[in-house]
Amino acid sequence: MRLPHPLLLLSTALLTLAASPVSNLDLIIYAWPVLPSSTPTPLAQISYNPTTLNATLESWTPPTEPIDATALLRIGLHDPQAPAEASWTGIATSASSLDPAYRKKLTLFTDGEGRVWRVGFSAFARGSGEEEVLVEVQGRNEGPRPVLNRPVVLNKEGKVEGAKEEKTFLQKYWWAIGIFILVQVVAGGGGKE
Amino acid sequence: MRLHALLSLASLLPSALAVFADDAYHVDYHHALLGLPQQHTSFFQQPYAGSKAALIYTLSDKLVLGAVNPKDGHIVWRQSLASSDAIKSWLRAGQGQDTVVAAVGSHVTAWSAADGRLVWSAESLSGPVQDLEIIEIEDSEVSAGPKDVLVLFNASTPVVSRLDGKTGQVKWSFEDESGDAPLQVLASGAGIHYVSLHTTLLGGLKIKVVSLDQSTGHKTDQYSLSSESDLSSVDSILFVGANSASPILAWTDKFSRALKVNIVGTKSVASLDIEGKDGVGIDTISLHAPLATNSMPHFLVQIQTAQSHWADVYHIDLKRSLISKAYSLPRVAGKGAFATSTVDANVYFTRITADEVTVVSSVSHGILGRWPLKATAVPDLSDQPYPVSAVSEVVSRSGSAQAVRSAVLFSNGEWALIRNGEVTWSRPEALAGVTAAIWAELPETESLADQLEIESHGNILAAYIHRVKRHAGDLQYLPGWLQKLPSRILANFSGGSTRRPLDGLQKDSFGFRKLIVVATEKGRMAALNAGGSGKILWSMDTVPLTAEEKWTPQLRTSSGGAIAVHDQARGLSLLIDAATGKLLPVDPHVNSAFRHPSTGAAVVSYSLAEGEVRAHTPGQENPIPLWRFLPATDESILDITPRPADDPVASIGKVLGDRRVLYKYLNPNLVLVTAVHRTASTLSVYLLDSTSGDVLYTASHSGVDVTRKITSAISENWFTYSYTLDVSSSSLSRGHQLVVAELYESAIPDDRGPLDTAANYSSFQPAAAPGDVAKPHVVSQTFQISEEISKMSVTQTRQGITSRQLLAVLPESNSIVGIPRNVIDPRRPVGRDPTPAEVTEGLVRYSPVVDFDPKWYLNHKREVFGIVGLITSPSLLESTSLIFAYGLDLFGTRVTPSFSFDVLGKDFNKLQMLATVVALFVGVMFVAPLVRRKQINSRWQIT
Repeated sequence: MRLPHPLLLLSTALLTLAASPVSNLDLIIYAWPVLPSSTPTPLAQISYNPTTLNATLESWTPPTEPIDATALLRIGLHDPQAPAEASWTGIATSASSLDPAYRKKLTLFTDGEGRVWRVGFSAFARGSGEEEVLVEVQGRNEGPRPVLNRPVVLNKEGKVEGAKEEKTFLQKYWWAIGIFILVQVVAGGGGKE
Repeated sequence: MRLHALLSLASLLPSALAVFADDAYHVDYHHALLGLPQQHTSFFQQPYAGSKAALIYTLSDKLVLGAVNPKDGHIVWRQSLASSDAIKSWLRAGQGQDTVVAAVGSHVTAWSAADGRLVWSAESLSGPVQDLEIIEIEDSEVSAGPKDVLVLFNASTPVVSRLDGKTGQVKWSFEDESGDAPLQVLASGAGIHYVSLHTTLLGGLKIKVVSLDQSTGHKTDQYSLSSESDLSSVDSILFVGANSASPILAWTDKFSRALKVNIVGTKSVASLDIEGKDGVGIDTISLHAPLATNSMPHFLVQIQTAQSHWADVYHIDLKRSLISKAYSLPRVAGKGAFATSTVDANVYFTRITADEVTVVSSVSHGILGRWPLKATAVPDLSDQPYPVSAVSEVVSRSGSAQAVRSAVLFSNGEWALIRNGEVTWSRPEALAGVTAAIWAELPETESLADQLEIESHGNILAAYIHRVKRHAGDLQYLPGWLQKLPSRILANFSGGSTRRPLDGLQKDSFGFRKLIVVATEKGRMAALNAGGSGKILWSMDTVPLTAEEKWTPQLRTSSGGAIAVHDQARGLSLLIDAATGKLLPVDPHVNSAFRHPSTGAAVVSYSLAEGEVRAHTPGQENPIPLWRFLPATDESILDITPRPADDPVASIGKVLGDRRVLYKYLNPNLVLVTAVHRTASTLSVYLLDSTSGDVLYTASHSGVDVTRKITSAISENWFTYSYTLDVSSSSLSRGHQLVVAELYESAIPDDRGPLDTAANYSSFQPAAAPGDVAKPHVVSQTFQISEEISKMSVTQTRQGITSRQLLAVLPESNSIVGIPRNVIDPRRPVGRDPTPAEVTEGLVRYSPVVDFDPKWYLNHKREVFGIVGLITSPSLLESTSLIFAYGLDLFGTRVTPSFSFDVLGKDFNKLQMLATVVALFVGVMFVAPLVRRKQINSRWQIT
């Protein structure tokens, strides 16, 4: 999928600030290394609107301790009340993705009621002057439905609206019959000698 | 416009594939199975009164009702009666009737015995069937029609109903309001009896017998047997004799020392001693009695211990209501089976042991016939099979048994017909209920590839010596090859080579000969030869299981023609040689990591467990969780479908009509997750990258019937899934739908997205290109289909050049269809005719309904029952894909989705071609001098 234009995203973010019918919800996204035992630390705080699907980044706190660039990181959601092993859901990425030289995109997947159930993450080259972190909310995507043929609509007379009336045989071929008769009349005279 | 329509029709033509009439029954093979026949629901019976030949009727443990021809073992007809609430099943047929009556769950159904058509069906709303009998002796009015049926329903108040044999309508019902547990009903010459069990205060069971009036169902008499002292559970009731002249009730006491027998209608209980002959505990006691109303009142008690078995025959004196022992049959080591058969009033007992078949009359112990038993046909690698149960038919003349044929179920699941000691046919019923299957390559002792590897890595001299040695070694095959040459050439010219059955285990040049290793739910493994019409090569019991357990192992190909069997539930790991079935030593390190089949690199392993998908780091001793996928709130995952590990793609793009290219999104790590929200009736599909766990695409469908089958398939750059809409759906259409989605790198032709032509891409590392690279552009469309799909798969070919077919199992019509890919192309133009450019692509106008063309049915006239899985494999021919479907039945075939463009057809006449060449040659020889002379003449003659 092509990336939506950055300006467009920026403008939607501005709109969010301006007015929102439903109060914004806060969400903390965690990051923690892929190690046998590690505790999730907050990576980003995001405020999003479940109805308009707009989101703004409140804070961005990448891990400060130096991690090996080839090491792997988990980025995802986690319930701070529950043990981390049981409550987390998330993706894996390389630690080098969090380098400020790259642009990051956080995708929040929301269900039908606007709750975020999963986070997506991708990092790619950053152009000069571009924001470091992009946030996008992806709502429930309705699957395709079969495109049905339109039913035939009849008018009061029980006929199809707008359909041309079928011409009768005579209306269609009067000219052929006319020619035939003409030929018969013209050619018929000479028969009797 | 018309031209377009014609063109689009023409573009459809190559996809209008069918199974050719001369291919049917040659390229495909089918094991039509029933399941293990049960002793109490199997019998020989004439399909209609006056028929000379009998059929074997059985209702198997898989609840398949079938009639089998005893001559060749072929199925005459089959009906699947599988229902969810079924625990027990019954099958009865009245003497001289043309229907058989079956009861499964709360359904009673009557089937035409000759052709298996439904005659009537009756359903009880109160509870399941507890017993079923046929009223053989009509009371007053002599009706010519089918005999009535007596059914006992186990409801809160048990009901005995008499159903009209013609229509299944209830004639009368008797309700037992005493609160006792219903046991059985008996319909015999002595009238109708209803037997129930009354629990006494001390926990013993008292047998209560109620006599009912046959024509009204009113209670006429009632008495109890004082059995509470020795009867404590229903399991110790051995037999409640039905339909015989003198029905009996038999049970054993608590210590299996004595057999208690009561003649129904009397109150006396006879106690018959069971002697433990070799001092060991008795395993089972079973009672065999004739079921015909006019037969002599004799019965046989079989006693089985761990080492041996024997039997006692008893006679009932009807006048004095006395039971006396007539004679004993000698003790024989091992296990045996007895079968009762009646000829007129005479009763014969057939005894089948592991090595012989004997027939005795119930009157005296003299052996009427004895035949040594020859070994069964299929090599069984486990223990020597022994007979488990049998049904017999005896032909007797002037006091001696002329012939006996018995349908015997052996412990290895073979159901064989033994005619005078010889196995006439044998059905591999153990293979009914395959839960896993995998393709295996044929063993090659020393593959050429390995040899060449050695030669290319050694120094020149050593390699040269090696090659000379190898060639010298190959010389030994030369005489044999030369010997076969004439016959091979002849076979080639007569067109016989393609029809010759491929039964050997040597490789063929087309790669059709492959092995299929299957695992059944009963813990058995077997191998089939896919090239040799599905012949079973070996079969063995691998895991001992209890009756309730179902074995669902994972099978994977390992190196050297071995199959790795994993059973996570039991912590079992086996390595089996696919060709011989021998167990190989397991190397724990080899099996611990999932490896890519072609590169051998360790890959991220993920699995669906406890309602979530978890992935772990590859190639480590103690894998660390890498990513974790939980579906949206309150959704539960149904299944995950990964893209096949070996899925060759011939072209990275799709060439459009205007010569531009849409580049395919080809990610080898795609996995499709289907999840449902049970209360909201929604289906969600999630496409994940299995390396990073990123969600690439989601789609939700509301108003889906989540109780029905939802199945998916993924291949190349497309995936598909099917579901059924429920009544509450807001959609304008109802029924079954099939969604097809294609993934592209970009929506714009000739554009490869931010990644462009980069050779490498990592799911973890940040991309060097600007823009979100990982997400595909998805084009999808939904089609309405006429039937529910229970399982889907995609054909596979060697290079992936051949167009693919979506294979779908249709459980309602017991068939498998191959849907051509271009019919379900999501780029079909909607609401308009295709442009000329689209027509050249082969796109036709979208129509919401995809009808299954009769030509797509791969099973042609065969009926494939209970298919749970489909596996495909490429052959050496690019045009051909091998297919194997498993479940209750086993069915295999091969398909050519783009026709067999790389092999000569059967109708190609090589002789004619050769004759043409010879004729042309002769013609040239003949004409050449003439032409030469004419040329010379034309230069020299001046006329």
